[in-house]
Amino acid sequence: MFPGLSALVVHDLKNRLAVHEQRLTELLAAHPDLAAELGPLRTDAVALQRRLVAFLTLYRADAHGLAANEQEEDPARALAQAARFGRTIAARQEIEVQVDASHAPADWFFDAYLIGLALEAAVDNAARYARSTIRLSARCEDGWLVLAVEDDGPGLDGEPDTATDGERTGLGTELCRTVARLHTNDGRCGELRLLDLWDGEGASGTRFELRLP
Amino acid sequence: MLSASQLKGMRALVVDDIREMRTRLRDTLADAQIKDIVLAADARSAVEAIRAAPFNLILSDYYLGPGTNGQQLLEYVRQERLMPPGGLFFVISADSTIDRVASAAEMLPDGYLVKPVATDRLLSRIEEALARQVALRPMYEAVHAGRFAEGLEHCVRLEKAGPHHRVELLRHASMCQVALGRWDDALQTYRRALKVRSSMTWASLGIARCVLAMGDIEAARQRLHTILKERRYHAGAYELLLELLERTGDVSGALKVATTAAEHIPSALRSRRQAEIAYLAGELDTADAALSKVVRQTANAITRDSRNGALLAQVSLERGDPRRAIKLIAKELADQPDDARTQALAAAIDVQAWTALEQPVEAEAAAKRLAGVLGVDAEPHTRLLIAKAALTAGMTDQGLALLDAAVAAAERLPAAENASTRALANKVLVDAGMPERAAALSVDRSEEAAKDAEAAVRKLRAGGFDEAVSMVNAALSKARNHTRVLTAAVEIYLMTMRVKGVRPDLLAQVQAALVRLRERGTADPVRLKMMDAYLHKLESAGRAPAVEASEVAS
Repeated sequence: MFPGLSALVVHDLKNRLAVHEQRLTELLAAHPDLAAELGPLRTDAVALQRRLVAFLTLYRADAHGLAANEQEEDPARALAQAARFGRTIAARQEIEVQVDASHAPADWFFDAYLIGLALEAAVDNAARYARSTIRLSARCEDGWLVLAVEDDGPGLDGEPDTATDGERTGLGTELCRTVARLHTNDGRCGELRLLDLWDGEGASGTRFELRLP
Repeated sequence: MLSASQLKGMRALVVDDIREMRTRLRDTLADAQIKDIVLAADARSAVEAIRAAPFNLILSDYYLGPGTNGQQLLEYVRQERLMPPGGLFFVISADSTIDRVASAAEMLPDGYLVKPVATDRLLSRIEEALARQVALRPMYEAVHAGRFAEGLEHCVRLEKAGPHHRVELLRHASMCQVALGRWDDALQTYRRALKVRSSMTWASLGIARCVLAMGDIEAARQRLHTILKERRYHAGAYELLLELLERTGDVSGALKVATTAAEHIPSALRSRRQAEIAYLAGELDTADAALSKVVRQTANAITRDSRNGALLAQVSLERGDPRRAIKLIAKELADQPDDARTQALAAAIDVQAWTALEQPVEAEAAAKRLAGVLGVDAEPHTRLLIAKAALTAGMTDQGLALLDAAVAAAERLPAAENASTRALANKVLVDAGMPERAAALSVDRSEEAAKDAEAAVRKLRAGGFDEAVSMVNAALSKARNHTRVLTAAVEIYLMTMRVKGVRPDLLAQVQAALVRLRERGTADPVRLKMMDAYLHKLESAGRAPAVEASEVAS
């Protein structure tokens, strides 16, 4: 129903949340003693904004033909940024975020903003399932850039360890799929792959791959 | 990551029309340890702050309310050289419009950021831009200073040094090659860029620019239509298509394109372009509407320009409303009473308006003012409007001299401006009842001759000396006073004599061409001096060939 209207409402909500977040930041600075009460509220406001941004991006891709602004970018930098985000959200759960950029190409063409959103969504997801480690990597494979986010959680068919599964909407995965699709080169389209890492014995996990042409 | 000292030393300016957004960005920068932060609510106060003390980091929202947007602020700041070398400019946009903003831009910022701007993302972007600035600094400095040959050398050297920034280097190499008139080389560079990534519109547009410069109008047209089919918001593609249409004399086609461009990518600049073409096409209602919009939009903007009000006044005159014309130009003069160009334009409008109102006393007074400002230093379009007024006031000789000077001066400008100047000069002459003179102007084959001369230079480089001499002679027969043709001729004659020995006929032709170039005063003085020196060297060296042909070709 009225997708355009929904987008307008979501846009408004996102901006209002940004104002609340700003106010909370000011209050936190003025009253550090209230950090225990205000801190989680601020974190929640930031997380909600991120989801609304994801929704708006999907809406725009669907309704208005969003185009990726593909520029010459450094994949290692995109990984580093996603890792910084991961460390802020995973710190409380004592999850380690590792980055392996040793096989990353010097540059690739992608929309740094959209890829940033997709990697953050993937890291956010991994942080919900990971037991102890999230691993980010980049490599070149047959003319594709493969950006990967791995966790050591229960795998695609497993149950999450944390109790936050009520927040699952599929929004993050859909965003990643759309961002991948928006990247094109010489008739090839970006892809999203999800792989189960269970080795039949003890090790398990999920590997998320954003493959860009 | 950036070191704290790198950030602490930065002086940053935040430009956003919404107070909460300004505050938020200030806090983000403060989180990043940047201490010296200034906030501005619009482009005008931003420019005031920049003029007071420069900034090495500017974050500007794209939408700054009515008037000037963030992209125009970027262009103004860069054109006026208001940022120190290595200064960074980021344009911020809402998530829903970033791709449109980015694809419409010709002058690129150091980066685009999307709201809400997270601290780590901002830092990552600053870090990346600083790293690029440091790695490519010698190249940026050479290009910025207009030392294109040196800039090109840096591009080649840096590209060999490593895999980073290769597209940025290809982009700048092509810019240098275009500035040096090396169209063949530029074409190769654009093709190399497209091999790296076929979707890079700037390279595709560059190919269109090259083939147009080399005379292949149809290939350029086809490529431009393809670009605009994929990117409806590409300002550069519209600009080049307009240039092509104006050069081929298709004014009504140009007006259609200018109208579409102004609708898709609204800006004062594009409305002004639409108005100019509408004026040439005699579509005065369209010209009036577009100019009224420009004058209103830029009333308080940094891009405010009295030429817009003056052209609107000229259009009013031609629509039969001289009183409105007088009011409009009076307002411009009241706002900029000391500006010589505005004074000249005001005198030009007043002469025509009072003449139309059959008020001889006022017309005479305005004509006296006009006579005193005929030599004003202004760009060709303004000089043509003044020439038009001089012709109206019966100052025929002065008017025609001014018109000729404007057309000659336009030869040094980019092809688009040259073409539109000729079209306007043609209209001025037709309006003044001199259609024969206008016809002579319109059949002028200077652009064709300039292209022939470029082909002759290419032939020379390939070692075809005699053919190059015949080709440039043919070009001269089409446009004997064209600056670029004359310059090419002198260079070809000199180089031919250097390789094949001095010939009295060529020596005489060089001397005659140099006299004409000096008379016109439109050639680059440094280049003239070099050609003079070379001529003397040849005259004293006698007839012996000095170098091998292969040396010249290289």
